[in-house]
Amino acid sequence: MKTKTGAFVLPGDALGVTEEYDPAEWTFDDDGKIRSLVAGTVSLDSKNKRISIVPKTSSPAVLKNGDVVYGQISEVRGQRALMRIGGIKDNKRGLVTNFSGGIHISQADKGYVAKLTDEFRIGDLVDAKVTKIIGLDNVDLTTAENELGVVKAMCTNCRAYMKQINKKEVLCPRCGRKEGRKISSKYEG
Amino acid sequence: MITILTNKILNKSSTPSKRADGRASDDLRPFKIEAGVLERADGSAYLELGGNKVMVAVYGPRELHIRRLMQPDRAVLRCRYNMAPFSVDDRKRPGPDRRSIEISKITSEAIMPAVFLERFPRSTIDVFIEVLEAEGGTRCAGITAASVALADAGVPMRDLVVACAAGKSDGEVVLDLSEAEDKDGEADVPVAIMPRTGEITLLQSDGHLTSEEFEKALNMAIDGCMKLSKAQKEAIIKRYGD
Ligand SMILES: [Zn+2]
Repeated sequence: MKTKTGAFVLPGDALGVTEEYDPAEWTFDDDGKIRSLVAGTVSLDSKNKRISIVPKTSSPAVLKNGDVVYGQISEVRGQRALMRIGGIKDNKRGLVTNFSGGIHISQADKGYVAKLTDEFRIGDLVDAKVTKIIGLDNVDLTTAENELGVVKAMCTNCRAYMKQINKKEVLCPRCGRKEGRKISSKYEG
Repeated sequence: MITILTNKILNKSSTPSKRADGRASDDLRPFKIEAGVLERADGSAYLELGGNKVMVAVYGPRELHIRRLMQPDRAVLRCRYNMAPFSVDDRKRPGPDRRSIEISKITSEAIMPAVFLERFPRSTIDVFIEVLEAEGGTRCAGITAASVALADAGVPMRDLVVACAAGKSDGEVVLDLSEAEDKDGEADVPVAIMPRTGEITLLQSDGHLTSEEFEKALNMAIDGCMKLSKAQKEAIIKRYGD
């Protein structure tokens, strides 16, 4: 096959055959022929026998494992915090459809978490990483990394955004309330 | 207006023709296609063909807020063809009229076979076609530009749909009718194809043609499509290639 890594291709361009390669990201199987779906460069993985395309255009914002997303906490239950996902970091485009994410108590922080309400509260703005795609509009998330977690905490008493005072706590500048959070290293304020 | 035909123009013609602008019967008007011209859209394209100036913006695939339009297994492709009030000599009433609604619908149907809508369940891909200046053949120009804008938006496609019309004017089967030719024309045959396979995704016929003339017009339009297809690809390569 004449396709080489780095070659620029357009939608529909032939890349190889499925007898030799697996059609991977941004390609499709056209009756045994592998073709590109987008304008981009070819990535040929000879060892794993995979052909994929690295898009040169911006790409539709579809969630996949490992994506870091931002969003707002909508509900905190006993074992699970729910989050409305606003978008993917590093992708300016709006999500292809609305997604909601769940953060299980075991995925909230690195160590043991006794109470999920000490980690998240309704209204918090959170950065989280996708760990599993469930169906069309649901994902599992983790915040058990330093740069993940709450980036803006909302006071449960008066809805003001709170100031970070130490690694685990935030303080409301308006009403003086102190609360616990899983705070991201990228906390704003 | 008096058009002076110079020898230079006449010599260019591969087939003798009496077209007012000196084109051969199988010549397209001069054209230009650019990809990625709008900063705010997910994808965009600009096309000129003769006196036509068409801008296309694509948004999506993105969340579809109208639940009754939502498809559980694929995205919907919504096209809106609109002629700017200043696009024609007599100021056009703004907003959709019957013609715009019909063209929006056929544009969507012409492009849809190339798009992998099933990859984006429940979402929408919105294509806005704005005709800034109109000079005959805007529906085809819109389709051709829309495909480039979709590719610019990274929307997965099996091919770039391209469209071109042929017709009959002054008793002659000709390619890419200008507004003047169309006004006095006897027939117009807009055609859209997926150029790689040759599959036709739009075929309309307006007016009277013998079956022989129709076949000639169809073949001519397909040849025109192939020329425009090259320009579509060049536009994307110019924007994104090395
Ligand atoms: Zn407060």
